[in-house]
Amino acid sequence: LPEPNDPFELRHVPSGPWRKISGSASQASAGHDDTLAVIVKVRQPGYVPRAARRRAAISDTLFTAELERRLLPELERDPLVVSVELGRPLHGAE
Amino acid sequence: MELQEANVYVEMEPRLQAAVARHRSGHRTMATAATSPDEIGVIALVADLDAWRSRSDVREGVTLGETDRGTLVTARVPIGRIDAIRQATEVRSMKAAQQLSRMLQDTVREIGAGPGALPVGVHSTGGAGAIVGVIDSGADFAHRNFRHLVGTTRLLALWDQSGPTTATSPAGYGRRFSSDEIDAALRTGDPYTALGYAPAADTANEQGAHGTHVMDIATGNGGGSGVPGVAPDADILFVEPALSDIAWQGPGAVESVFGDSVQMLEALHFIFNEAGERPCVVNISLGTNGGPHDGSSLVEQGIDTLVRQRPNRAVVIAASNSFADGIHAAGVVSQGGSADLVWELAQVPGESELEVWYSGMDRFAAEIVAPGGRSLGAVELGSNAEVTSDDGRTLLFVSHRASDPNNGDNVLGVFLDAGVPGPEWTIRLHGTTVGGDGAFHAWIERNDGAQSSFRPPHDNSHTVGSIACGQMSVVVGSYDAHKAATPLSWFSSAGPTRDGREKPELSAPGQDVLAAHSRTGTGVTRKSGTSMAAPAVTGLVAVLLGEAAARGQDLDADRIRAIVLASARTDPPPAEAWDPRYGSGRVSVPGALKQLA
Repeated sequence: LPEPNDPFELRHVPSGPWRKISGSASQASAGHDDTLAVIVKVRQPGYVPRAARRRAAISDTLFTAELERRLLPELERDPLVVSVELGRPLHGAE
Repeated sequence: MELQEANVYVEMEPRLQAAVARHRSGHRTMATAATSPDEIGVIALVADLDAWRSRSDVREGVTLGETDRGTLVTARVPIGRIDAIRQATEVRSMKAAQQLSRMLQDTVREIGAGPGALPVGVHSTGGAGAIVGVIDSGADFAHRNFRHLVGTTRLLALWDQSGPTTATSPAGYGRRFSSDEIDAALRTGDPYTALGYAPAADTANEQGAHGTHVMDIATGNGGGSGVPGVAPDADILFVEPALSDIAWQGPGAVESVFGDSVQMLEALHFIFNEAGERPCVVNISLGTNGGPHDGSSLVEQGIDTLVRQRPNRAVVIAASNSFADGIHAAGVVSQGGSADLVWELAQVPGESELEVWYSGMDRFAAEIVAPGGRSLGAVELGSNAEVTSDDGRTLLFVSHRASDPNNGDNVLGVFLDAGVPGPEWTIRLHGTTVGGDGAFHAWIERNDGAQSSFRPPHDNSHTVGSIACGQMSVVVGSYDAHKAATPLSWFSSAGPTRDGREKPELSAPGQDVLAAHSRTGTGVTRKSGTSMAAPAVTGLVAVLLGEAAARGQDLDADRIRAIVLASARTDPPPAEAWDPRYGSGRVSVPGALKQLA
């Protein structure tokens, strides 16, 4: 166990990881009240959660969207949302 | 821009003239492995070998052999002395050395894309009738390789995702440039300023835009460089990904980042929408390491969905260049047992991140061991943990998610801030409950400025990029087409996917490829990577789609994949089985066209 006043004390975060929302650990750790670009998969064709602004419809049940990070819990709780994926940075394969 | 007459010895071979003209104008060449600054390599035919060798302004190379007009030799000579040497009585002729073995034509020749190599009875050549889409950074629309003979653009449209948003912006952001707008800009003296879009200028680390180079391999027409790409008659759609259209939090703000996976999917949606019912193949020479590597991510589901929506669509993706980076590890954890992932940080400060994926039937605990061997504790499945500094900064963050909704697997993510000490951290996986096979795979995310890796020996399998594991994409590894044995490129990533599927599907020339150099009008530059291999296959698919259209055939994505795989050449790789890096073999344009019959 960490020693008292250890600069590397591992603390458990009260809110556990999202179940429906995937992304890198750095994204999960971000606490900023920012806007996110995401890909959303839903159960019901044509459904768009109120918290999300759809940008491109890939299919009836898959679309890209942007939303405020603070509204992610709404998508987590929404029974019509299957999963939400935060964008990952891409690099050139040169 | 003004055309000026150059007073250079007019009977001189053109490349030597150019070298002399550049020298006189004050340009100085860079030293290479074979030449000093302000020297140039030449091939000369000399009448008197002794006189040639005695010249103080000739640095002798090799004697190539005798001809009926004299001796053929190579040498390095000062550019300022070219005039004098060329006119010496012992010199019959002299030409600048050409690096023909490194030109894009080697790609075209080796994969059989030249007109002379195509099978008899082909109705269409060069991808005419098809569209090549490119999602990449830096489209030099002014380069002659992407313009028609009359000077107009070959681009049907260009979406700059970083451009100013308008009411008609695709997906609500950036700017779409039409071919008319591009042509109007091309008629001005400064087309980049006129259009409000330009590929980035060269830097010390980057010579030429990645996207221009990639686009040239797939579909350049040689109008500037003189060497066409694989599908020179196709039309072009290009999307320049935004570095970020909205704020992106995390370790992404490095120069090699070309947008993110959401913007990439929107770019693909845009290209297929613009193409409509026309045959279209899209090249994605981008990638990343983190992800499930089983095709279940939403971006891969999105790619598969778009490809399946209409016939005559395909997506080609670079396999990635991570084979030698030590970014993958795998193992098995037994019930009550443990396995260590030793994570070596770069010697320069930088953020690091890894992901561990394992079966949803297993339950691991992740113990975090700091440098020096002191345990910070364990993070159970279904919980998050962090280490913060006194000022609240996150130094370490652990997310241990159960049952990912897309594949049911568990995933452990660990993020280390640039400020944490090295040299190594250990992630110790404990088998709390092993109801499945206990197997895990781990990947370290890419960070070009400070790439961390697992402690050797490395397991370099499963290093194909994480957006390249979908069901419908065609994924391409790289080999060196300049060598007779066509050896694999040292960097070319290996499959299979985490769920055991065979990716990359095939391989193509991707090493030392000379293709269009942005902001030069006609020039070329050398780049290596699976980024350069993928567009050779993209060009092949464009040729295939163009030919199928000319024959009135529709090709769905399964058929396109089947044709490309069946036509791949072996030896190398051995014919018996799929190879983790070559895939089913080396790309062949004639082979693919024959499959259409």
